[in-house]
Parts: sequence; C-alpha cells; structure tokens
Amino acid sequence: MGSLLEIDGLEVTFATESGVVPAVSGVSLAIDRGEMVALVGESGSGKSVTALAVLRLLPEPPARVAAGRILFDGIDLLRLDEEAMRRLRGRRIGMVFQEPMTSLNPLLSIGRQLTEAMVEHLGLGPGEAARRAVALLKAVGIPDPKGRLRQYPHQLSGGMRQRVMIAIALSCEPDLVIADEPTTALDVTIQAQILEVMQGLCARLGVALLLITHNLAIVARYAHRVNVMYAGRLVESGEAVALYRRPAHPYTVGLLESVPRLDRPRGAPLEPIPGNPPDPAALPAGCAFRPRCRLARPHCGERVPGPVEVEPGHRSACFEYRRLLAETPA
Amino acid sequence: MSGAANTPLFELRELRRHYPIERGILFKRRIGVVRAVDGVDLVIRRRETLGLVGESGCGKSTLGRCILRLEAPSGGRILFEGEDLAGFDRTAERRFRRRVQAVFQDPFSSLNPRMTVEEIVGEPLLVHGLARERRARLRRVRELLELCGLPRQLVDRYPHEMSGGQRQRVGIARALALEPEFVLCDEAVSALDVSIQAQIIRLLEDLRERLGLTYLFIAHDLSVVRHISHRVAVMYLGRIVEIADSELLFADPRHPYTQALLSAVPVPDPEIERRRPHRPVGGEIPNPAAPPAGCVFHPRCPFAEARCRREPPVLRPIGDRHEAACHRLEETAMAGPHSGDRVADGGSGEDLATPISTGRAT
Repeated sequence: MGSLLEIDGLEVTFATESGVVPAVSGVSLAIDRGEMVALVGESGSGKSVTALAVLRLLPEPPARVAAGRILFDGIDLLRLDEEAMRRLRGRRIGMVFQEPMTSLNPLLSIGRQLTEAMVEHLGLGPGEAARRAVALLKAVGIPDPKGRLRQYPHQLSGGMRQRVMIAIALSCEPDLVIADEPTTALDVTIQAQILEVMQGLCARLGVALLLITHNLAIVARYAHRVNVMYAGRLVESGEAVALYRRPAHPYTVGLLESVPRLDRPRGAPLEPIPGNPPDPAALPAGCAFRPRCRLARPHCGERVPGPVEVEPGHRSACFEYRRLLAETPA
Repeated sequence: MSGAANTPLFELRELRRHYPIERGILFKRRIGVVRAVDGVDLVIRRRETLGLVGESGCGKSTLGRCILRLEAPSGGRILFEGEDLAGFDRTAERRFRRRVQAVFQDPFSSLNPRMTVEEIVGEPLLVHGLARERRARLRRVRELLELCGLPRQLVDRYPHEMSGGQRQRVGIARALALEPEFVLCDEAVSALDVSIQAQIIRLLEDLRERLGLTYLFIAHDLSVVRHISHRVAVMYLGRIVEIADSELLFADPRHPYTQALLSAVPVPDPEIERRRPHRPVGGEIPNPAAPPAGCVFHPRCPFAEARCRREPPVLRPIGDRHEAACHRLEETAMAGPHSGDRVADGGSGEDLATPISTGRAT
C-alpha cells in the first residue's frame, strides 16, 4: 500500500514582472496514514506554496504547477476537476491556517461554520450536525461549547478561534490535516495548548498531519519526520530524532545554531547564517545555499545537488555532507 | 546633570497607565477602565540590558511607550537620572529625546517608504540641528550604516528595495544617529526570519559593547530574552510578577506564571521534547478591563488558595537578586528546581517541565 500523500517532483512557478520565477523546485515527499510530518523553512522557502499546491488553492495565474505529481490516496490531485477537488477539501483534507480571523467568516456564527461542512459533506441533518459540533468544540477544549455555537468569530480570542479552526478541520473525519503556521500568531502558553490539542486529536482519530512552520523547536515534539526547505528545494529530510541529532545539511545546522535555547547554558554566542536568502528571481548557480555556506567548494556552484541518502531514511541535498558529518561524531 | 554612576538611568515608581473605556458619541460616559500598566516599580541600571517579557496585552509595550514619553502615565512617576519626566521643560525634553531612542518590530512600517536611507538615517540629525550641511550629514549617515553592518552604497535606496534584515539595520542606524545612551527595543527581532534574527541580535550585542548602551529589551520570545538580557522582568496583566538576573530567573523561576511560560517554550531537540511532560497552563489571559480580584494569575494558577483570590501579592525578595509577587513562594520552590534542571546542563531533560497542572478550559 502506498503512502496517503505522495508529492513527486513538484515544480511551481510564479509569473512576475521580472519573468517566471521558481517557487518550488523538484519537491518530493510522502506522508503515511496517521503520520505527523513537518515542513520547515523560512519565509519564501516555498513551504506554503507546496501546501497550497496540494490543496489546489494556488492563484493560477500567476502561479503554475509546471511539473510533478500529487497523489492523495491514489488520486491524482493535479488532474482532478474543480468540483471533485472541492468535495475533497474539507471532507478528506482539513486545513488550518495561521490567522483564523481571515479563514473564518466574520458574518457567520461559529455553529453555522462548524456544521456547514458536516451537512454538505456528510449529509447530516441539522440536529445531528449541531450535536457533533458541540462534541467537537468540547474535544478541542472550548469551555461552554453550546453557548459558543451562537457566537461570532470576533467574540473569541485568537486561541479560541484557532481551536474552532481545528474543530472545523477535523469535523468530517479527514485523512489528512494541513496546518500552515497554526500557532505563529499566538502567545507561547496558548501555542502550547493548541499544539497539544491538535496533535492529541489527530493521533486519537488517526489523522495524518502536515505541519508547516518556520520553528524547528515546535516541530521537535510532534513530527515523526521533518523536511527542511530552502529557496524552493528540499535540502534535508529524515526521521526527526536522526535529523536533529546529526543534521546533514549546512542550512539545517545553521538554523539550529541561530536560535538561543533554554536547554543550553546561557552566554554561548549565536552563530548566525551570514547573508540573506536569495532572491528567487536571481538564484545563484548550483546550490542556492552556496553563497552563505561555510563548507562551499567550487563544484557547489556548478550543479544543483540532489538528495543523497546519508543514512537509511535520512537525505541531504549537499555535496559536502560528509565534511559536515565529520564535524559531529555519531 | 546628575550623571552619578550609582543613579539608575530610569526608575519607575508605582507607574500606572489606565485607559478609560467610553461609550456614546455626544455624551461620552466612562463605562470602565483598562489597567494596561498597574503599579510598576522598576529600575533600569546604566549599561544593562533589562529584558521585559510577557504575552500580548500584558502591558509591556505600554510601559515602553511611557518611558519614551509617547504616553503620559495616569499615575506614579518615571525618573530619568533621578529627575521626574513630568517636570521636564522644553530644553530638558529636547535633551531627553536625544539620549533616549527606540527600535520597533516591523521595520517596514516604521520607516517612511518615500524616504531614502540617507533621509531616514539623517533625519534625526537634521531635526536636532546636528549636521546641517548635507555633506557632513551624508558622511555621518555612511558611518552609521557601516556601524550597523550595511554597505555605504545603500544611502540612496528606498525601504522596499531592501530585505527585512537590512531594513531593521537601517532602523537601528537611525536610532543611533543622535548617539543615545538608552535604546528601547520593542519586539525588535520578532518579525525576522531565524537566520536574520540571529544576525540582528549579534549586532545589538556588539553595539551595546562598543557604545556602552543601555537597552530595555521587550519581547515575547523567552529564549531570545534570556540570551541578550542581564536581568529579566516578567509581566502579567499590567504588573511585574517576577524579576531577577537572567541566569537566576531561568534556572529557578519562582512565580507560577514564569514557570508556566518557561515550560511552554519548546526546545529544538526531539529526544528532550518527547520525554518531558507537557501540561500547558490552562485558561487564557483575562480581560484587563476586568482583572480577577486578588492575584491576577489565580484563575490559571495551580497553587492558588483562598488568600490568592482576596489579596493581591506584592514583589517579595527571594535571596539576593530575585523578587516575585506570589503568596505561595514556599510552595512554588518545590516546582522551581525542576525547571532549573533544564537550564543547568540540558543533559537528561528528564525534569524539563515544571509540573503545571491544567487549570480550567482544557
């Protein structure tokens, strides 16, 4: 049996004033049923574009899926017509975005928004849908769920709105939830609550989760596998424990060394990655990370490095990964 | 000027900033009050970096704006080198404005999009009549850019032509144009990507050493605050609940809110993260217009008892350079050392989380 979601060689471009610009280049990744997978990268790395391509929510034009295949439970999503795709979204693939205020309709009550999908996708009657809505709100930790059904998004705090989004995403018992920076706008204690709720429910219901974030720390607790993107490409992927223990791409190492950590003694100087992420309209030749990389050698500017298996299930797209690994003994 | 080395640069006494909530258009009535800052005593010493942390709505930015004189306090006093800001005449005010500057979160919205870098960085010089001649001003702007790690050629660029990191460097160069002693950094690195954030933190640290600056570093990211600050104050609902040397606060947090905050911060290491119990503190931040009676944290606090619902606690010293506002410090000490282990060596990670039980709501 294949994976639940299989992205193979995805290429997405954007038509801009300065010509056609690559946003995602040759991204391949797979998510198994019930698995929690992270897609990590900084702004402009292509992580959100990848998610939108899966959901077929890219604005086309200017965006264009130039190549690749996205299989969801064997269905070729890129060939699906809009109507079939619409039935899939919300029913089998749930979505949670960063700012719930913009994803929730401010004019409709929480109850209406929560039951809408269940009535449409599952064919439930209004009474049954309302009963399930209450159970869902309770499951995501919203106090007084019955009373909340009549409230509107602006009456809820940011954390409560994000809980509602999670309830909606899970309402039709999807196979996969795609969460794009679900806690970035929230305070740290609320972030911790939301992640626990989301992870707990997905695990209980056997829902696979694709967690998209810039934060390597929040991923550490939840993801089985981690994919790191830079300038539109997957630079490293692997099982979480192995990847954090022995990162095999200089960019991943750089990301980990740029953040101060509460589990390390205070006072160690930060080691920032020098320079800036490249302009996608003017990517450097060869490896896009080369201008910022301390391990770069001339050949890094000649070809784009492809993913190489550094240990079973752990891949790095770096010509010099052996030199990097030699610095961190196993 | 009373520049005696032992006078603190700033001293806040019982500082309050309340906002009335009004209804009605023709006949405004006051229907309530938001206590954004509610009785803060705080000292900022010369050449120190004082971190100020707390979640949104805790009043940390309002406190910063009061220090900058962008907001007038509704009560209490702010002393700058021992002199009350409220009593400043125009000359004193002008001198104060030169010595106290700020860097804010979003460099894009805090820089005028129609101005070139030369104009942005040179404007304070012009306003204060420091380099009236353009050639001299340009020379100074170039020096400042260089100081902030920017190429001198950037002078004729506009904000939209630069990256986020470059814009924040321009914002810092502008803040330094008047050679201030104090810089308020309000979420100065929060909007930046991690790789750029580290560069700006390094720059701020470097400038502090070279120019002898004092920072009030306001941020919600605890790891960053711990890294850059000498001392750290934790705010909750308009009050300071704990303050200590950075080392001490993170090794031995004693206020239950500080403990909850620290246990909510994830560490980028799956082997540590998966072993540590995760019981995030329940509930949400109460409405500052209707704060709970007694200790404002009591509805979320696992240690709360009857007294906490009645009496607001005041800051009490714990040992030498550590204060916390909690009635139950003796009990929280039992929880404190656990979270201390996470900082001490990062070794086992076994005792990582403080045992904060879930309050209501979850």
